[in-house]
Amino acid sequence: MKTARRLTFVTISLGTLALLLGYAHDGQWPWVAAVAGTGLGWAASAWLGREWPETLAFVATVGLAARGVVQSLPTGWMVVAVVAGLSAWTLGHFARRMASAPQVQDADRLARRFLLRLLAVDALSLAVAALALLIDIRLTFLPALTLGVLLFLGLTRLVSALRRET
Amino acid sequence: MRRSTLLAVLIYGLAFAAFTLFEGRLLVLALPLIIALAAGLLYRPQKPCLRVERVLESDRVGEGVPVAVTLRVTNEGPALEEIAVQDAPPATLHVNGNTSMLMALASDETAEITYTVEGRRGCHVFESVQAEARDHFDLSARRETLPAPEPLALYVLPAAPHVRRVAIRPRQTRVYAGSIPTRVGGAGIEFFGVRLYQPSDPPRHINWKVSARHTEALFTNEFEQEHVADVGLIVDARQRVNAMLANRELFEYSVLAASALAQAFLQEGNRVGLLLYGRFLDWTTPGYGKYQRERILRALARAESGESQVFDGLQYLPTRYFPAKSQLVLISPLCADDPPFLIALRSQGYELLVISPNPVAFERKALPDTPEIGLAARIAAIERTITFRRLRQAGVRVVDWNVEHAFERTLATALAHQPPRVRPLGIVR
Repeated sequence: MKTARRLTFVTISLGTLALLLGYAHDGQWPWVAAVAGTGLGWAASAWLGREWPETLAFVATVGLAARGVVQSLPTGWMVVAVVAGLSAWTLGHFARRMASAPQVQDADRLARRFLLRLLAVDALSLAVAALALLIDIRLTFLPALTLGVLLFLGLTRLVSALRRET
Repeated sequence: MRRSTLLAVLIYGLAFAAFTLFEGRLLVLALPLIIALAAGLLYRPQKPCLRVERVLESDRVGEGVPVAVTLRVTNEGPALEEIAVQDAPPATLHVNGNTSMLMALASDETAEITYTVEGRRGCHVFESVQAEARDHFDLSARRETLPAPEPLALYVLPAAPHVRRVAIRPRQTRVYAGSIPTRVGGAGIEFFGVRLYQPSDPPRHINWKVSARHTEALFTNEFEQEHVADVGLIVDARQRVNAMLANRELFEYSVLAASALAQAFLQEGNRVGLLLYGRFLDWTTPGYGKYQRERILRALARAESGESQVFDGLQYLPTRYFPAKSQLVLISPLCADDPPFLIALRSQGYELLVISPNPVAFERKALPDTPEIGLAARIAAIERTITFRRLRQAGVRVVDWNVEHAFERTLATALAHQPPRVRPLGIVR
């Protein structure tokens, strides 16, 4: 449990640092301040154990990374920021769930399995993103539109499957 | 918003921005989110297939006695990486410890949740168990309500004081030897009369003084036979006669008295039945011994006062439940319109003993000490005295119990001696 909590702060720092480096690289100092503010706010809400400010900070991190990509900042840092942000958001939620449960059986085993899963997802995400950055495919409008529609349909099915479970 | 929905919204947003801004690298940012979502789908929990077993340390206890409850959960399906199991003890019980647990359950693995409960008199029914399985990222969940496993109920029995002996004298007894005088000569302890000596009579029972006056015959002493009797306990559960204060009810004292009397009568070997007369008729058929004691105590644990238009008065007391000329014990605070029905019972040949928890004294303690309330209490007390006098004139034995005093002491004082033999209509012989 403590490990998950510590790792939350580590990943928040890592995500914020990646964004800071990206924005500082281009000298966009007002945005550097915004990134630092988001990171600090996230760390504070993680410290206090608040759910929705953390979610807001995660969305802000993804938004800042997207803006960085659009502004042609180093995409690698932006991808790292999103992966770290996703990890921090997931870790924070897990730590909060563990803390709010009145009784947890074999908490260490549970945390170990969770961290292994997260590590696998992070590693896969970074690997796939790196691969994607190396590949440069030029698509005309129609194939791009087809891929877009496929992405939309696939995601819709994925989300509806997950929601159906609940 | 669910976490999976939020991720999907972010992915849609990034994809939309990528297509509208012709910026393919934005799709790269969406990849970690898509992988996380896919992991959620891949490891989504199956429907929990759990066997739940609830073990109570004891399914019957006294008031305030803690009972350990153990809930054993066995996973009979595929492994569940995260499952929260929540037991639902009755809200009427005070719970010590945790009733829920978060755990990972491998296939065929068993986990235990242990906590203790304690409560007041009643039959406390345990509800079903809730289980919620999730994946580690909490992107999908399955909720399941598991049927309540046996045992379903915890009986908290009334804490009955020990009553040594209650002297009763019904007009009819049963054939088995007991402790109630039967008005029939034979083997016993109390002197009953003198009769002619018969061969096989024990010589030590020969009444030499009477025999000396009759030179041609011998006379022997006869003793009063003592048998067991049928006793019908009637607990008045009508809400209108049972005064209720903020945190206690007079009915609780009626239940306490009934349990003490039931145990005392059964200990003497009598056949005892119980009728709860209130919202409905709850009849426990007569019986003997420890088994019957348990049945009566459980019926009393379940007992609640209530209102019914049918059973508003005592006129519907079902006399067919009780053997003719048996002993009836009515435990009731009584109200002014009850005596005619009780006198009617006496006229049918029943011996009637009324234990009346005093509602006037009970309520008086909780009210402020003003002259008006003092006067009202006096008037109510006088009405009660008149009611009791009417009943006593009809041959009904009445015990007025101020519940501030110990029941066993009140009973010992009021019923220490054998009751006089009275005719059905109450004329003392």
